[in-house]
Amino acid sequence: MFELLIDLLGRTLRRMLPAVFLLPLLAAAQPVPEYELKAAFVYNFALFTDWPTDTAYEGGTLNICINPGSVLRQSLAGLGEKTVKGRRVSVRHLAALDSLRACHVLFVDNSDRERWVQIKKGLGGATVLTISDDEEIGHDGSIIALAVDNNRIVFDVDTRAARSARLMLSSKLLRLARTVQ
Amino acid sequence: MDLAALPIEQLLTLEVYSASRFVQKLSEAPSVVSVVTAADIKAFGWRTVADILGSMRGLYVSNDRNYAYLGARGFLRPGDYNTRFLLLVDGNRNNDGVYDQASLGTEFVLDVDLIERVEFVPGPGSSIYGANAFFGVINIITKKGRDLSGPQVSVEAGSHGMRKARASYGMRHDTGVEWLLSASTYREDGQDLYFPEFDTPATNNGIAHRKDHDRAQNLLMKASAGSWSVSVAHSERKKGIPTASFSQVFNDPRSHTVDTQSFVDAAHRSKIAPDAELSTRIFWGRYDYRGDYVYDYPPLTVNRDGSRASWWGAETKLVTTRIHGHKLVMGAEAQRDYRRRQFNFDIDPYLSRLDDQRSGSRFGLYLQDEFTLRRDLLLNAGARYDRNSSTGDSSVNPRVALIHKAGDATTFKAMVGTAFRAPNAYELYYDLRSEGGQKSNPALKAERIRTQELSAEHYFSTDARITASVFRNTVSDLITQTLDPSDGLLVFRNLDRARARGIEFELETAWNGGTRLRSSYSWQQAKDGTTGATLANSPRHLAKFNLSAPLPHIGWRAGAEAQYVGRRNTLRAETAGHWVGNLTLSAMRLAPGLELSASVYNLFDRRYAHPGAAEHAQDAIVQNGRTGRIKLIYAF
Repeated sequence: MFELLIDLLGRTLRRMLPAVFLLPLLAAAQPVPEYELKAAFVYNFALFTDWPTDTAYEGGTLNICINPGSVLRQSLAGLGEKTVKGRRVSVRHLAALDSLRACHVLFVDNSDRERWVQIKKGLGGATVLTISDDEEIGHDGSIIALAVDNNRIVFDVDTRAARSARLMLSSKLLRLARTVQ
Repeated sequence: MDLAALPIEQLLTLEVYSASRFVQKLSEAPSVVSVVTAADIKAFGWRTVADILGSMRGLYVSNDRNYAYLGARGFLRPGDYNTRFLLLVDGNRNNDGVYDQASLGTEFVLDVDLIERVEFVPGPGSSIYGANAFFGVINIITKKGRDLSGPQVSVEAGSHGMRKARASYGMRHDTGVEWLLSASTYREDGQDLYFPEFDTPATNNGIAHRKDHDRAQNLLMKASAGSWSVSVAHSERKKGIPTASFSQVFNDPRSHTVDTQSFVDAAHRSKIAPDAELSTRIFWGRYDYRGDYVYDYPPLTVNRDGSRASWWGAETKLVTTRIHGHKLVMGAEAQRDYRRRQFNFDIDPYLSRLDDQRSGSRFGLYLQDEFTLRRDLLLNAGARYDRNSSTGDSSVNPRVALIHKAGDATTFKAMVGTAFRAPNAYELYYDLRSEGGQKSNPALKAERIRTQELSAEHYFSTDARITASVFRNTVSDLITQTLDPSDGLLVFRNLDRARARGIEFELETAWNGGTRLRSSYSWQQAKDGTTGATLANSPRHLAKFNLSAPLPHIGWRAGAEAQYVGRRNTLRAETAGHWVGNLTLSAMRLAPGLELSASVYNLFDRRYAHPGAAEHAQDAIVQNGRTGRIKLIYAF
């Protein structure tokens, strides 16, 4: 019975093939590249975050830091011409951890797995918005965790981590999050 | 489109396609690892693990139309059932308990659609994994419930009456519970094959009519909750033997093999301290093989050869970074092979020729330290002690790697190590003393390999990497089948020595638009240590070329693949070098949830052959010409 079904499907498939090649022309709303979209989320998170008034802005820029080995690096670099609350965004490569505290936003993913424990130690309550995109790092101390669910990007927020970094996340962000702890 | 300019509410509604990932290598690993992801498997239309591995640097695949065989760095012993590779499925050992076979063709336990990632770790892996991690470790990581997020069905149809269907369901709940269920069925009628070795009127003029059939069923269940996870898998594969291997009667429809495997694997992973993780697993597995071989004694008789292997075991592993500058990995593993049965009998009239029941156990203990000597210098040293009850052998296998990071972009590695393979139950105990038969040799000991390797890896940019590696392998006490002149019986002995050396280059590049290139060339020379002759099935040159790129405007992706395998010695003559090209076009999203792909294998219809083994009358076995496949996946 099952065999018959596959057989039928196979035959239909072969007949349908020419028609199938025309289908993409009809399909609506093409999917967008994952990394570009994640980078857009990172920018939006910065827009909806308030840093404490005593935050230092060396050179007046809002610094978004990323591991030079991260797959998101190129996409994130595209944010370089944007502004957040009047401050120009500067995307910085965080190769060594000594410049950690100059970051306002820190994006981490699987390229940071090995050094995540060190990063957490190095941050120690600094006013840095940590955004993770890695299931292993996940909620382990980062403020926002990105994930892909059913081909769409979702995010989870850890308000405790945000409080200890003295960051205020807008209520809109909390409303749109998949989960808030 | 500038996505960052869109409001966040709209961003949440957009559907993504995952970029063909430029996988970051574990540059700290004591090996030069190759990685293939689910996106690559899709883009290139790979159907088996053998297809996947065949695209990797330094590897090549043979197929005798019964099983698939893997070669690495110039070694592919004819007649070896991949015993010199350790196959891990989610960290669980998959080599069976009688032959130590790694199943890589359609006999592999899982549907390749359920593979998230395949890693090949070349070099001696015994310092962590023990036996069989001789030329390398194949690590298969399966998909999780979240990778499906709902029901999914897939149907395929292809040349030679191939059809396949799969139904899967995967889910992750808000509670953290995650599970996956999948069942597949595959069938291929196969083509009629012509073998000139049997071209006589009495043997159907050399045509094996409808003998290359293949069918398989696979089942996988996975569940995880919190730190616990369980997987259960089962598969059954029946393959017709068109080659009349092992001196069978040609073109008899009864000649076939059946491979059945199952495993249950339960694991627990917990962080016992912020800087220490403990994982423990218990596992059970079985592998049953049965082959019907047809002989004209006379009378025409079906002889059934088979094995039943069952085992269970436990493993525990601790990873800690507690000591500053050290990453320690330590573990223990024990396995009890409570059934290692081999049998052979004629069905009618019934005559038992072999019924051998054994059991055995293995135990291993290992420690590895990744020691940061300097900011730019890492020492990775480890060793494992193994004890195997069937030979009474114990062995210690070390591996040491010195890893130097010359700046952010360049890494140099120097690696030395040893590995071993204990003789399997087949080599030790298979005993069939008829004329031209085989006798057991319980005195066999393990074979060994010593490896030295130097590698350099350089990033031109984050998305462009070149890797170069030179290696030398020295193998001793190779377990070899030979003829005992005193009684004319075949027997396995620790006879041969072999040496191999070579050099490999690989270039990987990814562009922003999603185009990705992976290309490699390797040169190797593997020689018999006694005679100095080049080994059989050992190509001097290998080249791989894999390009996948989105096609503008229509949202499709093209995956083009080309592979070159150089001239190889066979047991009696040689096979010519050959190029094979494959092309896959895939539409990631024809309609919401609907994916289509169309593949053509051996695009230019090149005629090529793989070397046969001693059990084949064919010195070389001709492979398929141009074939095609269409596949539809629908996610609800």
